[in-house]
Amino acid sequence: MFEGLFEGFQNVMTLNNLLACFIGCFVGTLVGVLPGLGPVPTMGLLLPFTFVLDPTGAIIMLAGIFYGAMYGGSTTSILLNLPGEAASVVTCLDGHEMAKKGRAGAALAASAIGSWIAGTLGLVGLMFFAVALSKVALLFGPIECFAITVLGIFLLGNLSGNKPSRSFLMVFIGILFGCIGTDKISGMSRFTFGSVDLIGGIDLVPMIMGLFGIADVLMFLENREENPSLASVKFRDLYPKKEELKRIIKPSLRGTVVGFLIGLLPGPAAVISSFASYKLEKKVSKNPEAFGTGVIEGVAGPESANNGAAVGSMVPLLGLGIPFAPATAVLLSGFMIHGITPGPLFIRDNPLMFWTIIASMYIGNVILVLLNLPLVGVFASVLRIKARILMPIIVLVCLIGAYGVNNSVFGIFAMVFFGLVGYLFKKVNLDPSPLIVGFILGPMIEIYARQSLVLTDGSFLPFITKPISGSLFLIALLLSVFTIVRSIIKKRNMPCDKKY
Amino acid sequence: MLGKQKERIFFAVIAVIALLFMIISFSYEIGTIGSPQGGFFPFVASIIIFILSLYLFISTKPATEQTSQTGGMTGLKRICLFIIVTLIYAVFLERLGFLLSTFIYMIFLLKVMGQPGWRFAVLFSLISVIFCWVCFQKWLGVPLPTGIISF
Repeated sequence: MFEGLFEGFQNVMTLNNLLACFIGCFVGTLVGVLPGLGPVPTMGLLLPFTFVLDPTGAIIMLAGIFYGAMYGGSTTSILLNLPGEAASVVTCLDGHEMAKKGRAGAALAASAIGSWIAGTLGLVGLMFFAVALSKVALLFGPIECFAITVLGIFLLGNLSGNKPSRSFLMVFIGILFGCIGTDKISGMSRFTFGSVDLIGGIDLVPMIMGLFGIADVLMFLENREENPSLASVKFRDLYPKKEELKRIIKPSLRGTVVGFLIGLLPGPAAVISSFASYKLEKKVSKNPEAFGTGVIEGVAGPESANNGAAVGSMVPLLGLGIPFAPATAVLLSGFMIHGITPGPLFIRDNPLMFWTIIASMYIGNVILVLLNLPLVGVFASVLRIKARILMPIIVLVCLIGAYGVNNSVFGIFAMVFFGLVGYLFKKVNLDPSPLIVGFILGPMIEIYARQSLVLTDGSFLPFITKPISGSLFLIALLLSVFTIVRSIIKKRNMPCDKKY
Repeated sequence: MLGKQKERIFFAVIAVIALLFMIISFSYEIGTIGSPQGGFFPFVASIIIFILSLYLFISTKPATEQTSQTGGMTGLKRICLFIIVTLIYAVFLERLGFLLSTFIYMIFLLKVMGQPGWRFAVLFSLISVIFCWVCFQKWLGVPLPTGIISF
């Protein structure tokens, strides 16, 4: 293992790979700082442009955007009380209170140090878990793969924060979108309605641009509300005091473990883990009532948790080839664009690439600390750009991205369509993230399901009797029962709550 | 936020679309459980979407509370204008070329987003279009359409 890591470090130390890592981290921090432009649309946007890079460089850059955004997201939470990323919402509670007390620098440093600890230690977990998982995954046949994707969808529905029925609806809409185009088994065209452009299926890039980028532009157009102006903060006192530094370490370690473990599960792990870590910190604290008034533990814990979750979510992708989060779904597309299929055989067949990606993430974490501490003022000043200037730039880059996928204006039409769909989803409180996961997992599930049913001659018995698939289906069943029971209890308790 | 009534309409529309997809799936071969064909999977997915949207339609009770209508008709007009102009842009992109069509489109974008004055809009559009051309066409090798301005 350490030999592989050493080779990875040797391989990453080329100008191209280091540059890709730096650009990824820089862009990630930038989009993390900017509210509204998240890592998923940015990664999707840069997908067609990664053709100029070799596959390893492309994945290094895309991964850098993903974990870089987790670092940058806290900046606006602390300085403006405006989370740059959903995962940094909880950082507002104590981070902004610290800023009000003149300790913005310490809060930013706590966030960066916590993120670095989680990013670095999480990588150790990623190395062990992904390698172990890929060994177990070699035992997986179509039935087991089908079972794990079904379990993934069940977990996604239950953990997405939304009502499970809404998340499931989005997942299945995504799966249906994934059916458009040529059936990979029979070669039959489905739901193309005579359009030649749809024969190859819907491209992920215009879909992401539309659902996230253009939908946000449409929301802005509706009200044309500008962001609050940035308060000037002095960064003289950037480094935390000795006593504060001591208080950062333990919450960061706890946040790393919580984040990493939640990251292994499907759903918006970064968001859930930051809230879970905040709750945990409050529970273990001697002064829980002080939380919300500017406590450094309330910044370090959640910020390390969301970084731990970002690293943890890479485990199912690299070990099984199954993305459980929208960002890793885009990463999977990045692999596929370059002709690499992550899966149980990925680490065995591409050890150098795997270890180079891991090594780049270690380096990326160092780059991010350097970017986020001394240059935090530079990134924060990006917020001074008015939304009326920023939005046309977002549209322009989205247009080039949508056109650049196939060098066809059809990509722009698709992007506008998905922009409208995304806008409507926002209006009815539907989160489009599960749709992306469904869209990516859909074709995989279809192939696994059809292969499994042919193998079992239409019998469902082997799905339950095989030990791995049986256990996975049992977990899915228990989860469903738990969800139903929980909702019944919630409904029963509701009238009592209303009395008060 | 749209009112609950509009949420119900949305879920009803989704249910109807799912029903349509279900019917279309029949036109492809569904096969049997032991030998599922191309229509099988979308058929199952459509049924699940239909059931879920129907459930959400029923469980979303029409609330009587007042919903705040932000933006109103002016906002909606801006959205419609943006979509129409973007579609026109897509139609003319390959004929006029990236530089000219995007320059005009960027001026429109800045104005519709609320940028006052013309001088800044024209200058900003010009710079951003040239920057994008150099960055994407020359450095990243994305073949953007040249149209009537070819060099």
